Amino acid sequence: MTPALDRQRNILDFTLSSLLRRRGKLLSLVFIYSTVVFVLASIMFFTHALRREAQILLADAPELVVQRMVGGRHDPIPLEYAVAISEIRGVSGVQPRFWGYYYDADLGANYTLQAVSDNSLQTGNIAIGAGLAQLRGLGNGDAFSLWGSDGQPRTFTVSRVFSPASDLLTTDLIMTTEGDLRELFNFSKGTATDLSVAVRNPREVQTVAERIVELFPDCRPITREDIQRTYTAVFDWRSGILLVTASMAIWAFVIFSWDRASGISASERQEIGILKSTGWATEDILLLKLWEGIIVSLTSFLLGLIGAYIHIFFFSAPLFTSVLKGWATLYPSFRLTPFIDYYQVAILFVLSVFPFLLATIVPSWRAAIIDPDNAMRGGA
Amino acid sequence: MIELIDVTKTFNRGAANEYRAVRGITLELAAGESLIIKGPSGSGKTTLLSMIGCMNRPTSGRIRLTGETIAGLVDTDASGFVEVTSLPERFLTAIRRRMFGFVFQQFNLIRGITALENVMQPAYPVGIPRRQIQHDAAELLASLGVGHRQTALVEHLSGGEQQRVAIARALINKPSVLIADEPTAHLDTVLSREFMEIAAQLKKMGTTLIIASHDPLVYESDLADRTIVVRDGVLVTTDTEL
Repeated sequence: MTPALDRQRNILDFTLSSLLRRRGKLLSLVFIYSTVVFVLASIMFFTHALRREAQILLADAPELVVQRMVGGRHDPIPLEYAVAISEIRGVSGVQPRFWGYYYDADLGANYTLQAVSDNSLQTGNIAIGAGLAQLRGLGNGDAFSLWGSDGQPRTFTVSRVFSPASDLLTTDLIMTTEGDLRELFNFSKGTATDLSVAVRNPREVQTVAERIVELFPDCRPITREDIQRTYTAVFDWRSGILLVTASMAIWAFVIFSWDRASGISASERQEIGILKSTGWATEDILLLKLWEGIIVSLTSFLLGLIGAYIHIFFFSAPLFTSVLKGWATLYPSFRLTPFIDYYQVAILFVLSVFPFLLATIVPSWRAAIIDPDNAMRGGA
Repeated sequence: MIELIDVTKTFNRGAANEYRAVRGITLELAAGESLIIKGPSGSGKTTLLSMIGCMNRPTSGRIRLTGETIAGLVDTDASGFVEVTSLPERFLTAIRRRMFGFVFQQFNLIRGITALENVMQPAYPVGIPRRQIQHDAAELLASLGVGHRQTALVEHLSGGEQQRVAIARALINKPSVLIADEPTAHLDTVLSREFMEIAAQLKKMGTTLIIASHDPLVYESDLADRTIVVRDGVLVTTDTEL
């Protein structure tokens, strides 16, 4: 080993010994630091994973949904609109959709009811989300009653429970036949909830949307990109709320770092004096403090990051669920697909590790440039 | 050899509390010589030691050093001397590390680490393999009679043991000059005698000794080749050459 490497190794060994000597301080430092990283990384992992999850699921969503607006509110759309829209150049198909919300007073929860567009269900049968099935203790073949808008109960048979993998969108979902849904909600004949429009060339979606508005000024076309933007905005908004909440922790960390930057303890100052008086150069002390900062910040950063990964991807973010999830009253219990945005991790690394290193080095440098003579006059 | 030429040291220059700790001291010290600096507390002994040991720069005057240990570190003049007064900090550190070992009045050991680690610590930045440092440190502690205490935390050692650890630490980088500031101030008579025996052994081995003390046991001993008296920062008497 070269003298330079030996020097590095010796100083690193001494750094570890110094850190172990101040175990209590080290542990509190690592705890605060890693907690801040944990909170920030959790928000980051969660919002990114949800956004990605939503993107994957929305890939199968219709390119264009047309809703009719009356008085600024969504209203059933006449089926003859579908005929006119299907004749627009570039439109390859128009499918009426039937859906609505159902409030379950027993659970205080809202369900989303939707009619299947094919013959996958028979009259009187329903398919339900895993969240609802679990909450209600339902399985295939079980009966489930819903109150109709005429005040009469209607009993359905559960013929299928959706896979938990699709929980993000299906947890509170009940799929029925079109006839059953019309009867339950008393939908007027000749109308649908909205229209799903397929466009041959995806680049023409916007043009088709504009044409629809020209034909039917009371309609609002919603593109898949619009929905994705809404998802993103909602997730960003939610992560914003959490960031505001977490800002207290971040602020505490900033004050803590500033406290370190503005001064070191008397014992640390004396130790630096002793080291200098026994032959350590200023750069040796800075190297010692650099190692100390690297060990503390990297350990804390990795602990926080790994903790956040486990929290989000193994335990489905129990600490943030009520803020970050909640498309429905029944919270999805799905497990997110691990997804890491390395760019964001790099930013988090730079924003947390570098200021801390600076906060460690600067006061040590200030103490290290004093005359070692001072140490001779101090006590051990 | 160490030369001090009209050296002064003033603290808080220009301020209301300006204090002149050393006032124009001129002194020469040969290699292998042992010098005792006498004087009451606050007389400027420690300041003088710290300037000799390159831990502090004089306000005015010159300090010149020569010797094998610093050869090659910095350029010397024709007579082989290095004027340390104006050297950059990194050279002073290098000279301090190679040429001087310090035993402080309060020992200044690092608490929370073992006696062995305290002794090893000055050698860490030198770039010697750790195993070698450990071996040398253990040998030094054994030679000073505290080899059995090497794994003890320094705060668990007695005053005498702590001082031996401090001496071992001062010697780990094999300095040619040992500087001790009031080494017996916190020791009883028995331990003070033990220190004097260790100092005598080092002198026999050719180490230059500079000891500041106002303990009669030290300055009346036959260890000193020369004793000087400092009072109010001024060299009052240059005692007998023994």
